[in-house]
Formats: sequence, structure tokens, C-alpha cells
Amino acid sequence: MNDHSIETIGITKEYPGKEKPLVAVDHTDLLIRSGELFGLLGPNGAGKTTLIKMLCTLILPTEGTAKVGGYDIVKEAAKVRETIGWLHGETGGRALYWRLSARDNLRFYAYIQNVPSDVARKRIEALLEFFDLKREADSLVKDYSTGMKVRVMLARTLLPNPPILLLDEPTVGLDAQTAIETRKLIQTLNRELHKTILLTSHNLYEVEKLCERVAIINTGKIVALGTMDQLAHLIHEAKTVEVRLEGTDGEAATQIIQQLDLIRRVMMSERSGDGWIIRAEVSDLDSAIPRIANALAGNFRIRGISEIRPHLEEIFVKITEGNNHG
Amino acid sequence: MDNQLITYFQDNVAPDKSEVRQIWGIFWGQLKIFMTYRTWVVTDTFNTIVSIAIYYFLSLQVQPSQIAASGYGTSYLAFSLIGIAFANYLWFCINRISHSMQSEIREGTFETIASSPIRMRSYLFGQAARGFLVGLYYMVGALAVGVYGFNAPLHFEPAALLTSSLVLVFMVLSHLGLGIFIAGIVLVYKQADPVTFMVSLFMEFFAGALFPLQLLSNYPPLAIASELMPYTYALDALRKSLIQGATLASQDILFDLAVLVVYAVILLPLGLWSFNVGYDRIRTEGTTSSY
Ligand SMILES: Nc1ncnc2c1ncn2[C@@H]1O[C@H](COP(=O)(O)OP(=O)(O)OP(=O)(O)O)[C@@H](O)[C@H]1O
Ligand SMILES: [Mg+2]
Repeated sequence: MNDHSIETIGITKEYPGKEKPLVAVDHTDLLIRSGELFGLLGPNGAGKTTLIKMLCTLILPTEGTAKVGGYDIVKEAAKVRETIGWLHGETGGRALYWRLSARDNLRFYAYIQNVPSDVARKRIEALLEFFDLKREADSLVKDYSTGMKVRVMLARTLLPNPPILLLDEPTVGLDAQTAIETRKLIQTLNRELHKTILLTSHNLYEVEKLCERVAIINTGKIVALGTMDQLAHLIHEAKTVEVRLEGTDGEAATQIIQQLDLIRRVMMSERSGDGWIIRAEVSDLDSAIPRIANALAGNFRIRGISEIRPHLEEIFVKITEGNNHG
Repeated sequence: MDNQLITYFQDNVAPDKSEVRQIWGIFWGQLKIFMTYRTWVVTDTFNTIVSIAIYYFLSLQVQPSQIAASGYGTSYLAFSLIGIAFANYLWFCINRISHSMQSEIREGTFETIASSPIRMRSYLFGQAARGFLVGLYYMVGALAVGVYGFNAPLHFEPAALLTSSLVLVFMVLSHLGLGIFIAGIVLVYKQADPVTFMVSLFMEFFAGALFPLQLLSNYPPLAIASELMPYTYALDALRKSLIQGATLASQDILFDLAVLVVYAVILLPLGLWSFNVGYDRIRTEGTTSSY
């Protein structure tokens, strides 16, 4: 059995609210392939944590099902627990035994996560080293900073070496240096150890950098899903081209560009330092770039022509702005 | 740097699924946590000594004949000492699991356990094992202070000790079932201490921890309540063996043991059932943590 995928089929979670039930996850279908590093984005209260907790068997779905590593999250919960590593960064380091040291926390979790003692011993030392916890390893966790606690939580998640990692905001509370190291680690875990990783984060840069595919969830529903490119296309049907010219007078060039048939509109035309920048929406990127280059050739000195891709942040805001917060 | 880390995660290690090891893990971790509460250990030890001293002075006021009439020798100190020494076990059986459950839900550690491969029952028995050990400390301490400090007349012959140990084991098993049952309710309502406090106090009182049950014979409903408590039978057997020196050869002891076994057989599965119901309920409500 080498199925390390995550699959949800119409999974739904309705919390029994005070006045009326609250649908936190609403008939969601999601397929994360074995070995994929998948990002789950969404505004506060979108249902990310609820979805992840259903996948780690802590919350029972109201409707629908899911399989993690090929196991049903309700009927084969015990198997699912042997397959996953879960981290809940939002807890701010709470979900640890504060009255045990980092080393003892890890020893404790080795027992309850079925990690054989000899293997655990080596891994614990390596993890303490990696997360820079060696010096404080024998002090009680209650005296640690939030970032240190999150590092202990990360170490705990990795300790049993599970093939599937469910990382709910793993870098919350980490300083820049540790966040960078952790991102690198996540990437290495995925690339070299082929872990299937489901990651949520409010740090869009992080998701953009790490994830191959991204789903955006809002009020319990997946509103967009795809690679970064595919998502970019969702919000920009027409693509944007940026033309950078030498010299501070670009008006004439703008006129020429405007008259080309595959230009939809010129969005921007202005001076930038000792040069000029024109941005235009085009209907066909592949032919637009050479056409623009041809049209301007001879009369203008072109510094560069390139496609502009929207950042994930822009995509995220565009896609979720229509929906009011739940 | 991370390449070095990765080497420890490349081999496919078979998990060690031994339940005994899981129970040991919980026991070990919980005991270590308990040991960090040093002041608590000190105040509890102090309280035990003080309460024995109080019963010592009380015993000087009680007529030996009243105790003798109930068949437990003539010393009120010996009588109440058993009540005090074993009360700790009653309390830990009833409280331990609900109490830890509540704090682990609050701290968020319950979720890390519930999403780990450990079996829930290993977790419960590990918690119980740690309670058992700490209970032992207070029990042995209380008996030692009573016998060596205040001259309570108790039998410590091997046969009496063996008998009382056996009674203790079944007393713990039957009450543990009740404790796990209550934990199932506490999971959902998340208010452990008031409930378990009332239950423990009620049991302690009606089992006659501090007075002979004959005193209740004029109040039939109360007498019936006391006969329904498993703790009543445990205390009876413990007193008969430690005060009178009765052994397993005694009919009374065998009867008490049989009652405790019946309670254990009924209450343990019932407790685990209630726990599972509570556990599924909080997984439905999404309240496996309350931070
Ligand atoms: N146990 C619960 N009972 C009732 N409602 C809940 C419960 N847990 C979460 N909710 C509600 O369900 C919705 C989804 O919450 P969830 O924590 O899954 O969101 P999230 O996407 O993780 O948000 P965030 O980005 O803030 O972490 C929210 O409206 C939240 O208030
Ligand atoms: Mg969340």
C-alpha cells in the first residue's frame, strides 16, 4: 500500500450552533495526490482548521467522507492516526506538556506515537539540534518563548515520520530565520522524503513559494483550485504585458501599442526613473510580445517586454472579496 | 544542515504498537509532570499527617464499645485510619481521569493524544497507573504515620497484607470503572471537579469511612445507599484484614471481594462505553479542545 493521498468527497461539517447550525465546511471535494505539497487558503473562519481536524479524526463529519492514505477517516480512524502528522500552529504552543522539558515531551510522544525507543532517541537528538533547542532541551516548556514551543510542536509532528503531514499554520509565531528554515524543511520533506503535505497559512508568500497547487476556501466552500498559473488566469482572463523603454518620453510608443489589434487596453503608461513603463492587457500573450517588439523596433529602444503575473495575494483578495466574512 | 536531519527519517521503521509500552509512556509522562508540583506533594503529605493527628485526638473521646459493636476491634484510631488511608484511592479513582481529561482539553494536549496512534484505553490505564502509584505513596505514608506515630493497632502480617492488597486491587478496578464513566460525562460538560468532588464525598461518607455504619441503621434510605456503595465492601474487608487479621479464609472477606469483582465487571465496560459516547459527542461538537 503506497497510497498517501488525501481525498474528500462531499465532506461537510455542521456545528450545532446556539440559534441555527453553522456550516463550517460545505460539501467539499478535494483530491490531494500522493507526494503533493498542497496549500489551503482562506480568510479567518473559512473552515480550514475544521477540514483539517476532520482529516486527523478529531472532528466527525456531518455528511460526506474522506480518505487519508487510503483509510476512511471515520471507519478506519486508528489507521489514519498511524499515517498522519498534525500540527496546529494556531494554538500558539499550547498543545504541549508545559511541565515537561522539550526532550521529555518528545520522549512522551514517541511512546504514544509508537516510535521504537532506539529510533526515537536518535531522531529526538537530531530534531532538537535542527530546531536549535539543544541548549534548552531540559528546561520545562512553560519557560519557552512561543516560537520555541512551536518548534517543539514541529519536532513532535515529524518524530514518527508519518507519510502525510497536515500542517495548520506551521510558521505562526516563528521569527523570520526559523520560518525560513522551516519552509526549507517542509520543502525538503516533500521533495526528498516524498511526504504528502497539506499546508494552511495566512502567509501568502509562503504558500506561493512552497505549494504546487492551491485551493481557496471561503465560508466552507472551495471557490478556486489550481496551480498558481491557473489561479492567475482565473482573475486575469486577459494577461498583462509590461514594456520597459529607454528614455523618458513614451507617449508615442503608447500610441503605437494601443493600435495593435490584440491589445485590449493600456492600463498604465508612465515615467519610471530614467525610463518609461507601459502596461497593457492583451488577449494572446504568446503573439503579443513579438508583435509589440516588432511594432516598436527601430524607433524605440526596448529594455524589456515581459508578462506580469499577479501575486497570490492579489488573487486571494479578488477571489474572496465578493464574499462577506462569516 | 537539514540533509543531516533527513538521514534519520529515511529508513522505514516498523512502529512499536505494544499497548503496555503506551501505558508506560502515559504513566511515565504523567508521573514526571506530577513530580514538578513539589509544593503540592508537600502540602498533601502535611495534610495527611494533620488529619491523622486530629483523628488520634478524636479517638480518645470515642467509646471503644461503639467500635467494637461493629466488629472492627476497639480502636477508633485504627478504624478511622483505614478510612483515611484508603480514601486517597477512592478519590484518585473517581477524580484522576476526569481531572486530567479536563485539563488536557483545556491545554490542547488531548487533541495531540486523540490524533495519535495510542489507544484511548491505554491512555486511561496509563493515567490510572500513575494515580495508583501516587495513591500508594499516601496510603503507605498514612498507615506508617498512624501505626508508628500514633500507635494505631493494625495487623501487618503477610497474610493480612496479601489479603488487603488483593482487596485494594479490586477496589481500584471497580471504582476506576466509575471514574471512567464520569470522565465520559465530563468530556462533554467539561466541569469535572464539582461533580467528582460530590461523588467522592458522598461515597466516602456513605461507606462509613469515619463512623460505623450501624449508626445509619435507623435511617433505612441511608442504610440502603451505603449498601449500594462498592466502597462499603472494600472498607469492610480492609478493616477486617488489617484490624482483625482476617484472611482469604474468611467468609466475610470472600463475600466483599466477590461484590467488588461484580462491580468491576459491570462498571469497567460501562465506563469505557460512557467514555466512548462522550468522546464521539465531542468529536461531533468539535470540542476536543477548549482553548
Ligand atoms: N467547535 C465549534 N463549534 C461551533 N463553531 C465552530 C467550532 N469550531 C469552529 N467553529 C466555527 O466554524 C467556522 C470555521 O472555523 P475554522 O476554525 O475551521 O476556520 P479557519 O479557516 O481555520 O479560520 P482561521 O483562519 O481563523 O484559523 C468559524 O465560523 C468558526 O467560528
Ligand atoms: Mg484555523
